[in-house]
Amino acid sequence: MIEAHHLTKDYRTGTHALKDVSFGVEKGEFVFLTGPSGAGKSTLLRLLLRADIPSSGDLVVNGRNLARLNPTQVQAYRRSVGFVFQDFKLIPRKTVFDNIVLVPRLMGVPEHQLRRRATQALTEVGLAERLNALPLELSGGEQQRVAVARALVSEPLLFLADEPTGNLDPVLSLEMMSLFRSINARGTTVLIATHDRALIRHLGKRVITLDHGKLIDAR
Amino acid sequence: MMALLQYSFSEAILSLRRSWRTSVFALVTTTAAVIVAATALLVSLNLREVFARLSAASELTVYLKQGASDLARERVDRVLVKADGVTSHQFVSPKDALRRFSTDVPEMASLAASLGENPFPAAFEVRLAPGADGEAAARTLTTALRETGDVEDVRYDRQVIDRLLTGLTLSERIGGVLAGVLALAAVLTITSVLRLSYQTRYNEISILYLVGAPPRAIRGPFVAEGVIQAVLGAFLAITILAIAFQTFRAHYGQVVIDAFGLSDVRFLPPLWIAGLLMLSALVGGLAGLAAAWRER
Repeated sequence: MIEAHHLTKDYRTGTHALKDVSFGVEKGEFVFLTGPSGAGKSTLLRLLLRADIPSSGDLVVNGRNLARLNPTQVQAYRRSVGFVFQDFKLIPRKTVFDNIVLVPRLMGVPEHQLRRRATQALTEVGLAERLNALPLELSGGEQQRVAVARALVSEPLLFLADEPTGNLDPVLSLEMMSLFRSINARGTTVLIATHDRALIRHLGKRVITLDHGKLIDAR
Repeated sequence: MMALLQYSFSEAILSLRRSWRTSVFALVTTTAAVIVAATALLVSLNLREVFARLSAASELTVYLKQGASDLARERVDRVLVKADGVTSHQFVSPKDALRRFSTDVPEMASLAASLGENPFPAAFEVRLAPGADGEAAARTLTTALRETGDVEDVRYDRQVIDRLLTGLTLSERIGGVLAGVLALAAVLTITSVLRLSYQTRYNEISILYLVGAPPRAIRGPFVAEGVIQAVLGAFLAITILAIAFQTFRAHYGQVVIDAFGLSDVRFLPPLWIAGLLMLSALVGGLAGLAAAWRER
């Protein structure tokens, strides 16, 4: 599903965010991406979302080299990826429902299907009753779950999350992880960036470890 | 497609409501541009009709030499009968000319009478067929008439009309350039206002890009906003012009009709108005597209 070949990402400031990182993730796998702050986890996720391109090396997802996509293909690729951002990236003036169905609605999905999909996704994250709330009326944890629901609504092939439990208490974190496992059980490839060691141990899944932009372990 | 249109226009209306103060500038500039363009069209439409009537009625006046004989008159008459482009001609004797002068300008009648002898020469009034080759036909005819040796002078009023037409065409071009400059100003204002709106919504647009919204859905609201601003401006301009036109016609319409011999003073035809609105929509849409054009 994901093939990273000698990925390097340098910034103009001279910072080396990633240095010669190579790894692979199989279709349907559940993988944790971990490492201390500044390890390059968020950079790698940005590359996987095609919000950035590597300075050198190749990143191939589902057979497509992300650096070679044109702007329209980039948007189509992003629609095939469910991404949960660390800062949620919800549109404040839109309701939970409108945030969740925004892209499918623009793609012409009929309204009754949108409602069904949104209700289903919100039920999975335990927020079915907050359909008409505005993001600012929700707690940080609730906003995070709305972001997860938005990522789920498009039924993605690849599910990526950047510190998805950062704003959740331990009980909710475990619930969220249980949700990610059920997403993975449907055949979706899941890659979660987190520095929560306890959570990683609890789930016992494969871990890719980065430190100072270098791959330390990918077992 | 319908979902995209609905989304684009609802987002555009929301944006206009949020930032109506800046949108007013774009609206005023567009209104001014369309008023200038529509006024130029309106004046041109009515003046063209005046000139068309004058052109259709254009005449040559052929003055015979003082004391020209009946034989000379017959020679000139024969030339006129044979000539191309002459629809009719009429002989005006010196007596008829004096009588017409006394009727048309009664205050000068005593002056003509006091001269003792009739100062007016015999003449032919020649009506020419309208058409693009009228000028050439008139020139050929003038040469043929002069060659008879019986003609003192030939006056051709079409030259005056043609000069006026040239002046009108020039005025139309100046009006067109002015309207073009104002239209450019309107485009730049709309683009700037929409660019401000783009910056205000930058975070939201970034989110849309990151979650995979198609580029047309991101640009759509800006195109729709440009279209709404431009069409509103054009509609306002045409409404203002229509009110001004009705007021003018109520006060001065009859004077203009009498002065120029028009059947009526006309406002812009519905098709022209529709054309102006569509052109404004196109220009506004392009301005919106330019404001939102960013490849990521």
